[in-house]
Amino acid sequence: MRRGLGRLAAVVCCLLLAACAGGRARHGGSNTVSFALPPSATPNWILPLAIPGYTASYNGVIQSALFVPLYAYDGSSGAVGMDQQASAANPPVYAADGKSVTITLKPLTWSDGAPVTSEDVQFYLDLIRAAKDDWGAYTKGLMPDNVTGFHIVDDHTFTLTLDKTYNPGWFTANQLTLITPLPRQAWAHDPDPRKTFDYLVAQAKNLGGYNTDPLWKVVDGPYALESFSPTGQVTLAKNPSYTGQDGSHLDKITFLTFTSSAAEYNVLLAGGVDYGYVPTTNLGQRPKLESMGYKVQPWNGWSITYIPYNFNNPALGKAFQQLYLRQAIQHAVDQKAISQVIWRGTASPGYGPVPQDNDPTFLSPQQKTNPYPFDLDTSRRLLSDHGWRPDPDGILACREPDECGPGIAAGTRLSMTLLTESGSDETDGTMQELKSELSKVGIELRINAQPLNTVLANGTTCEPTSPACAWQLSYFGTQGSWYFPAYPSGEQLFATDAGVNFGNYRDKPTDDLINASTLATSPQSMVDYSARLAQQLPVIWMPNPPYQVSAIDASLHGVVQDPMAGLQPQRWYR
Amino acid sequence: MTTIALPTRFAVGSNRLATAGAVILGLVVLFCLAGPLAYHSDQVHTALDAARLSPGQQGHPLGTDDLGYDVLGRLMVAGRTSLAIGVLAGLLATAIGAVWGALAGYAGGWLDAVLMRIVDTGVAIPALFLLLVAATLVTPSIPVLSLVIGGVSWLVPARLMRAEAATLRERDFVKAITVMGAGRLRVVFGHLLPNAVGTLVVAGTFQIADAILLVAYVSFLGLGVPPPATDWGAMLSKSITYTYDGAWWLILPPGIAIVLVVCAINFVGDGLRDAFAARGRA
Repeated sequence: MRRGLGRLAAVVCCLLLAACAGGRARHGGSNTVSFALPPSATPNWILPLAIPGYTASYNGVIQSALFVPLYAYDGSSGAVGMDQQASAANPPVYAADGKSVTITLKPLTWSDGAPVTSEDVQFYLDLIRAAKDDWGAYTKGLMPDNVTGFHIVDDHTFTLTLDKTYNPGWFTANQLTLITPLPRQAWAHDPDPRKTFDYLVAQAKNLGGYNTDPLWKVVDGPYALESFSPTGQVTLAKNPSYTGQDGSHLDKITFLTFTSSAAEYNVLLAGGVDYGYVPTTNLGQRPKLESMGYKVQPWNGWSITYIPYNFNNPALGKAFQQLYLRQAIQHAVDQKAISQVIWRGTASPGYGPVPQDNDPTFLSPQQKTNPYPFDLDTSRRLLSDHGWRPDPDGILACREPDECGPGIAAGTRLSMTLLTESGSDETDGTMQELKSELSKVGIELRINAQPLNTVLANGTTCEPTSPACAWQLSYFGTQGSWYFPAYPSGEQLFATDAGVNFGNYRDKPTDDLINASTLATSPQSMVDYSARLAQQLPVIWMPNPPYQVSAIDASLHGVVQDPMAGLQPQRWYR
Repeated sequence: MTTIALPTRFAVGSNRLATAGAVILGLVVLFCLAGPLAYHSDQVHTALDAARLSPGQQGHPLGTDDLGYDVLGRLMVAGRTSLAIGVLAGLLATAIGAVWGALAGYAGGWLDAVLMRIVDTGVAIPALFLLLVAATLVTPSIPVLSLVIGGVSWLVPARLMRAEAATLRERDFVKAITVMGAGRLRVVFGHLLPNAVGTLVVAGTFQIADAILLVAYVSFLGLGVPPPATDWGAMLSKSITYTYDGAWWLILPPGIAIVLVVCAINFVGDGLRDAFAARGRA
């Protein structure tokens, strides 16, 4: 008995010690900053080439600190615009006919002493052209297909020839931002760009090599990689060789990883984080945090949140292709309640493919007014009208295959697995709510919670015959599923065969609208695109949470919470 | 011939703490198993429109949690899970430990040394670490958690049983049946284990208490049974975030339940130990 009671006493002591530690302020006071990464998120990619499964926003934050993108945008001013300080080139100059663009690089230098030149941009384009099917940002017909010529004017100036006249604003914001000059002199492993691409990807997958591989020592950004733990903790140090105009005020920034938001919050209370976040379940403790020297600020995103259907899943892909089924599922999502109760009002309902709570320029009336409000009766009726009848256990099964839809076999049951990210109380609650409401209409939802990297790695595009196509639904939206570039167009998300079209959604009218949005300067095609996908439901639209509710050390200045989820730690100072 | 040593009277009755423990345990078991028959609540579907109600509001005696589950009903459902895992894991740990320890104690020599060094190695590895690793590899459920907790908890009963077996091995009745030609397995399973029943019963009660605590730990760390199922540890884990909101009704009930049951089982275990000790002295 003594042993059992001893354990109880130990638990009580631990809780008391943790509570006492809450009052101990350790954050602040030095020229280094600790930044808390999202729950269960561990950086696993620093190569600035998007590869499916490695496109998490926190990877992008580290990449842009090490490698300066050709063009960067941010929305910190309230409107999304170019961040010239964080860009490797001066604003592009388009030809009068719009079919070419001339770009001049700024005088940046790689940390091995070599200058950043036009050839470094060409090197990048050669790599993604040679391996475009493996490049996560690829969409057929767009970058790099739409660049038909590369002409080097001099070391710092080059001209891209385009296959047609694009909307210049879109092309700069959504295409040129995909390019990052790479250190050709250090990374050109083989004359064949395909082999070099494969080599770089292989090296990048070796997380243990990030600390020692000379490849990762050559950077041109305001930071250099000091250490990279396979468990995800990353420390960046000020790059002494940086020659741009956006140098770091801080000596170091450390990205900390946590298995859950609760674990992060405990460390935050103990003063172990300079820039962390507050789980919305703990928002009642705001005064306590403020008394500890933290500023508490929501970080809203230029984003949407959704659950992709895997239209190629052998078991349920054909069912997901039926609009009535997607409508029935969407009718069972109580977005208002989830936003207000589970997210405590910090999330906002989202009904379509463009961000709803920021600039309304592209928002259609259909998306704005929610074509499929929470209505379980309508949901049930849609399913019963199409041949789905409950089995003895209450789960619906297809009993009238002619009514269920083509390719759906008699006896197919609406029992689906949702692969979701772990570690967040809000996401756990959302999933329980979803499971609960769907069960009321006869749909069984099995929840499989995994770390975010696992969800992203497993829930990618796949062929129906591939074992990788076993996933049916996936959720990676605890901090928003997708953060847009300046134009919230869908060429990466919902265009046929697009790199981030994880669910393999295919719809010709959608493709046409996406194409039109990339060419026209008028917003109408974007509005039409918003309307169509609000009605077609290529995914389950979910409430869009803030990127996070931040707790920032009050002595840390210069912090701007970019709605595009970018981070500019080089501008922070004490 | 099988000889079983049992206390001459149920000594628990003469031990006030043990009696209190037995009564509390009985009431808790009754509360968890029969409670839902008398008090109906939906523990499957969320009710966001009734989330975080304080006790007494809208017909919820203990209020509701962050997803609108009735806390009183949830306490019953969670108790079933905690008790089921605790009992199954405790019995499994005791059974494995009993056989392992009996074999080691009776065999002696190199087999005893090998078996007990394995036990020593296992004891050196924190059970919680093994549990967390296992819980990340398999989807937790009542059978899985019972197996895993039982699988990491048998080491202490093994040590106890080994000492008991080493003593019994020298008793005349064991030597006698060995001379009569009984095989090793028959001696172990037919005579040693039945004669160590007192040790095993006491160890088993402590194992059950420990298993209930372990499942609470694991659930507290977010690796318990998946929702909408729950256990007391998971309830406590979810509730602890509302400490500063003053939502005591989410924190105290599962916390008190864990403390009550663990203490009650330990009291009963103490009583049984005293009873068997008295029998040994008689």
